[in-house]
Formats: sequence, structure tokens, C-alpha cells
Amino acid sequence: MSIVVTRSGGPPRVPLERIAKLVATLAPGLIRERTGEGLDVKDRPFKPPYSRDYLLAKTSAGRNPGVNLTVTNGLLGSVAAVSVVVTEQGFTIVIAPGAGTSAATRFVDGVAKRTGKRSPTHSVLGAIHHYGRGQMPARPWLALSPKDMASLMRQLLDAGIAIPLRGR
Amino acid sequence: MAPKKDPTGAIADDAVADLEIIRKQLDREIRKALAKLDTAPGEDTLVKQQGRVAAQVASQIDATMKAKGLKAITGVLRDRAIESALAALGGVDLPVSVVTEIDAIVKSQTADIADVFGDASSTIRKAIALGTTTSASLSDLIEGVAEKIGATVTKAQAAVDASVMAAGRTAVIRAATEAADGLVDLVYLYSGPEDSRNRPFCRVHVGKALTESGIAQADNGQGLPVDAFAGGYNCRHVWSPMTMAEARRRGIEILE
Repeated sequence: MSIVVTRSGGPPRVPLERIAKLVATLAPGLIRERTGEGLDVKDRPFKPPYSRDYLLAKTSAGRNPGVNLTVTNGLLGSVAAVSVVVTEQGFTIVIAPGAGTSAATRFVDGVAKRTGKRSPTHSVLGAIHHYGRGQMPARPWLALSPKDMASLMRQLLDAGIAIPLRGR
Repeated sequence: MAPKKDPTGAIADDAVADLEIIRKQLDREIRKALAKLDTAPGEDTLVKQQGRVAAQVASQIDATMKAKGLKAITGVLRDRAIESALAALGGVDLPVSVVTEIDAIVKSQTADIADVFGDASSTIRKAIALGTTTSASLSDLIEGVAEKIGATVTKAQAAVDASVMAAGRTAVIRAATEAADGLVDLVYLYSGPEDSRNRPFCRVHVGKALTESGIAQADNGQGLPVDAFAGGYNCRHVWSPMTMAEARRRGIEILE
């Protein structure tokens, strides 16, 4: 997803580069937090719940039973601003999961074990969760939800910055 | 605009590919060395001869582990991780001093890997001794050794993952500090899974926010810096920067 700011009026009090860096710093955490709490891009609980077998395997290994796209936290932990482009007209920040991988794990006898293999890249894994694939249902997570956007605006105001942001 | 490749992830992938090459090289070397066990002539002197050869083989394995395995993995960590991890947050310039910090993290990881190889070497010695005293077949012995090497490489992969994660956490804090400097006070939310796998440190801190000085004072009880390693080696938690005012509005406990 990306955040776009188009400048209007006179020059801002804080240079656009500084604002862009601050947004790039704050926004990924909002997506991580909300997803980790089991809420989708519309701030609603993820649906559907995990399958009975997966839930049993996950909970028996001591993991959180909620639908929160988290086992190793590799996917959510990799979410970052991967591109910040500032022009005279404004800036665009692209936020995405990383292109790296996590150690693949398998739940065996109540324990999450490393298989020695690697997961798909986090960006691919993130897209699979976001759009769904095969039997994997879509669980849209990669965007700033209305509450995320409101929080981001409040935090910018904390820094004395009032600027219109647009997510896409 | 297409996002550029996340260099931190790329390091992990490159490192894993390199580790696989190292694993194959080690496997080849050790199989070659173990094949010498077949050269012991005569059944009556077999055990004695095998004992001597096994001792030679064990020291060769030690040398191989140290000279090739450790050196190669150290290379993977140093050459690939340091510089690329700094670029983890695309478009954000980081101060040069961070290189020194991440270099220190990587050095501590190489010490862990040395331990991993030390353990593997000792395990392999035992496997050889077991193979000799029970006259187990050479192929069984080789399989056992290969299994130990595989386990060692898996542990080394974990060390690479931990190193990359540590570099990423450090980069997040440094980039956030630079971004907020003079504009707003930030805190760092201790973010990640909340489950029975959490270490005591993580159980206490998850969902809370720490100031930079709070992070500097925190002790995970593992002798590892909290800013880079959070709750410890292979910790799943990360730092999510937010303004101090927002943390207060949301009722998040702040540890200063």
C-alpha cells in the first residue's frame, strides 16, 4: 500500500522530507499493531476463523489462538516503508512486507519446529493473506485502516504537522 | 512505482543460500575424511586401527569446522549483513555510527556460531566413537554425521536470522530518532505475539511502550542489548515507534 501527500498552498513549516521520514517511521507500526490485534483493514475482526486443525496445532504449541497472521512474527515484523519518494508536489511512501523469508515452522506434537526450509517471501505471503489463494481465505490487512489513518494524523499533529494524507 | 527489494530480507536469503553451500562443502569434506575408516585392514586389528583413524578424522573435522564452516559463516554475516541491513528502511539515511553498532552485533553472533560448531564437532566425535565401538556401518555413521551438520547449519541459519532481526531493530530506532529529532517525543511500542511462548521479559513488556532511555536501561537477563535483541536471541518482538502523546491517549503504559 502507499501513502500519498500532495502539497497545496505555501511551503510547509516542516520540510516535506522530514514529514515523509516521520510518516515512514510511524505508519508501519500501525499496520503491525492492528493486524496483530486480529483486525482487518476496516477495523473488523478477521474472518473466517482458522480451521479447527490449524487452531488446535497452533494453540497446543502455546501460540496465540487469534487470527492475527502471526506465528514467528516474521511477516508483520518485516512491514516497513520500502520506498520514500519526495518531490516538490508532495511525497509517496510505499509500505510493504519485506522480500525476505522466515524459517518455515511446522507444529509437531505441540511444538513449533523449524523444518530447515524457508517460508515464501514475506511479500508473497502477505499478498496470499491479503487476497486469498486456493483454500486460503482473503484476510485483507495491508493498508491503513480508518483508525490507523486517524492515529497517524493525530501523531503528526503531535509534531505540529497538519497535512492531508491519502492511502491507496 | 515498484517497491525496491527489501535488503534485509535479501541478506537473509543470500545468507541461507551461502549456508547451504557451506553445508554441502562440509558434508563433502567430512565424508571424505570418514571414508578413511574403510581403509583399516585386517579384522583382528580393525577396532584398534579404527580408533586411531577415528581420532585423526575427528581432528580433521574440527579443523574443517573451524577453518571452513566458521570462517565462511562469519563472512556471510560480516560481508552481507552489516551494510545491507543499514538500508533496511528504504529512503532513510542512517548515521555512520550505526555501522559500528551493527558490527558489534554481528561479532556477538559469530561467537554464538563458534559455539554451535564447537558443539557439533563434539557431537560428531561422539558419533565417530560410537560408530567405532559398535562397528556400525560406515553409511550409518556418515548419515549420523550429515544429520549433525544439518542441525548445525539450521542453528547457524537461526543465528543469521537473529543477526538480521537485530540489525533491523537497531535501524528502526536510529531512523525514528533521526526522523523525530526536534519535532516530537517518540516511544517504542514492544510489539508482537502475546502467548505462552513469550519469555518473562517479553511477557512483561509486550503491549507497553519504552522511551529510548527505558530501552537502554532494560535488561533481558540474557546479556544481550535490548534495543537490538529485544527479549533475547531469536526474539519475535519488534519496536513500533509512536509519539509519546499518542501512547498516553491510548492508555499505553510507558516505561521510561
